[in-house]
Amino acid sequence: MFGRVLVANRGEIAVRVMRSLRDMGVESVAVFSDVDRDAPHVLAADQARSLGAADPVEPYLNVERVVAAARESGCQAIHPGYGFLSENAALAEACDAAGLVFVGPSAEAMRVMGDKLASRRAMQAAGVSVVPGGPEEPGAGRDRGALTSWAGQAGYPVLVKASAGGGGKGMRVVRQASELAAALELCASEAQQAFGDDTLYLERYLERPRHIEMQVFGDHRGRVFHLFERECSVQRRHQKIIEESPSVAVDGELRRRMGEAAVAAASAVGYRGAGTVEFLLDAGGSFYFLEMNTRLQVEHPVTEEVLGVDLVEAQIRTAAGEPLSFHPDQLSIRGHAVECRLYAEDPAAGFLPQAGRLLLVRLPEGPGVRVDSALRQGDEISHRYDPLLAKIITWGREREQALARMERALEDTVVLGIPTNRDFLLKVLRHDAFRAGRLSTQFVEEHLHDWSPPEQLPDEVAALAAVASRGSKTSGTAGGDEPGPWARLGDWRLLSDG
Amino acid sequence: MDLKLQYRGVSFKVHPVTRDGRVSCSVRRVGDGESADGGAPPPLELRAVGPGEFLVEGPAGPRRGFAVRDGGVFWVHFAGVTWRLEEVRDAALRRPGTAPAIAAPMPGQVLRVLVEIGEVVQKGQALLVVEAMKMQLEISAPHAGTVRSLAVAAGDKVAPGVPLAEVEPVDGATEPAA
Repeated sequence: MFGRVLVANRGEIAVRVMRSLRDMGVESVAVFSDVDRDAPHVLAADQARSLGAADPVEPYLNVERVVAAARESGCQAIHPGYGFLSENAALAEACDAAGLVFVGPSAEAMRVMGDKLASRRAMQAAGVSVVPGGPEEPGAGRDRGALTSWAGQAGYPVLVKASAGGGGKGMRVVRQASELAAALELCASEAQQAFGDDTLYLERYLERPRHIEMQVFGDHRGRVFHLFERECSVQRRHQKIIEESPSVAVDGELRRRMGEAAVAAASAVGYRGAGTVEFLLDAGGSFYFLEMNTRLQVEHPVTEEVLGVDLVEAQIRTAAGEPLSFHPDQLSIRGHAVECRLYAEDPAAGFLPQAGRLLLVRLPEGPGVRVDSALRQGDEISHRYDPLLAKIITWGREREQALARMERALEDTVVLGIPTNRDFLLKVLRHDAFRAGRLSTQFVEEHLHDWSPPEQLPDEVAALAAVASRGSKTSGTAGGDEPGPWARLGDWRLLSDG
Repeated sequence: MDLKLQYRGVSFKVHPVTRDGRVSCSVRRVGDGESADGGAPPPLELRAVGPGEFLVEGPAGPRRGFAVRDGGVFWVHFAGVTWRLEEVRDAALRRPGTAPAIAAPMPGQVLRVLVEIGEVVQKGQALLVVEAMKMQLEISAPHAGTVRSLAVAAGDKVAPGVPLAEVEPVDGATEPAA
């Protein structure tokens, strides 16, 4: 086993990976940009290395600096988390060259799966069905004429995607031919900015499909197996907000077929470690390969909760060439798990990401509740990072109990100082269609498009504002120009002395 | 001192009185006359128990509430719901019939302006495209109405809170964003 591992990430996922390392008795090394010097992931590590850069984001994307930090701190491996460099084949190669182990698949597997067209070809060759898409000719993805004629032949609606893309960036649904030109222009410019590549790609757009993904894993001996499904149909602008396992839409037979397809997909690229094969499932029970994420998935905790496995531990063991601590054939789904993603975004203002200071934070606890976060009262939330604040995961012996626990957990989640989607998540959870499991990727648009905050303000809320107001008036600031979070919380002792 | 608050276009006046470590608050909706069946509801009793944390006495016993102030904005969490309220100073009270401004939600750059002054727009219709965080975001009309002003042009850099456009509601009545 490794003695020391560098975690090339920040925020909740870096903290989460470090926790598993600690459980395994492996030392962790954090890296940070200047503004992150005291960040939660730095405090969660055994030691921390500055990436020596003022920009908050760029250093986390700098392969050279990350690899140098790992070598200087005496690490044997690098865990990339998700986002940042996690799907960057160059990091895997740089690790090889530096004699470090990259915790993830081979650079080649990442390259194939990271390219929309190459991955589709690999899937078709492996006998996995894909959503009809194109154009396939070289260079056609930058040729407006070729794109337009492919759409005309395939028929509308079509989905415009960035070939190098992910996370909903550079993606748009076009329902009629007259809207195509404008969408191509928008997507190409978004793709250029986000990924440095304006190659586009079109797909037949399936109406109201479910998003079902299979967790796959390749062990140290090259055996590839699956760890069942997650349903992530509740999305907004192609960003997942609620995930669960198992899916109410997947029975034993479908699970077997999707599992086989996922294993075939991963095997086709000689997959090692944890990965996710995403499918769209239509109303008729047909499923189509969407993409494969060659990394730990944001929503991996729901799989961990229903299977009782630690996927990060499994990744580290496999990277170290050691056998897993569980036997894949003996795993079965126990109960039901749900994850809600708490985002710093304002549902009342088009879900736009929000920045500001976390003035007061209380996280939920109690039976069946897990919180993966790097949330800390007093911290500033910046536009420069992902607006994900916390992942709240609940487990129950069946779906109903898991959902009841999630409702409790969300009600007990207090984040004051910036708008969050907390109340919106509660609204989804309480919706009849959600409760009944009638889900599709169109769920939010169909049922909760015109969300707005409650109409009536209870008197208690106005009274609470008044006492908060009195508190802060008596406190003042201690000489600084910028009042800290404590000044804004008010001096409660003075208030109660009154 | 009395505190005047606004939530979704309704103003509230809170009159707090401190007594024996408790604060007793009378809450009144501004514009409400005295209720016909005899007077205001009894005042609410509150106690501070920690920074930003309070107990509200109710008929079924004390309930926990959280509240912080950030300048003229109040954040409150009570009974499983989070609220954002604004303090109102009388001079700043919204005049009926004026057009609420549509502000930039985050730092970014205006890519395109899709409407013209005087144009009649539908609720949810895109007014501008702003690029921020490598995403192109459509800023849409919060309600149906007429575009009264456009403060920006394509290429302008915008900061959060800076008004971009004003849409006068069709019937002159709207809810401010809460």
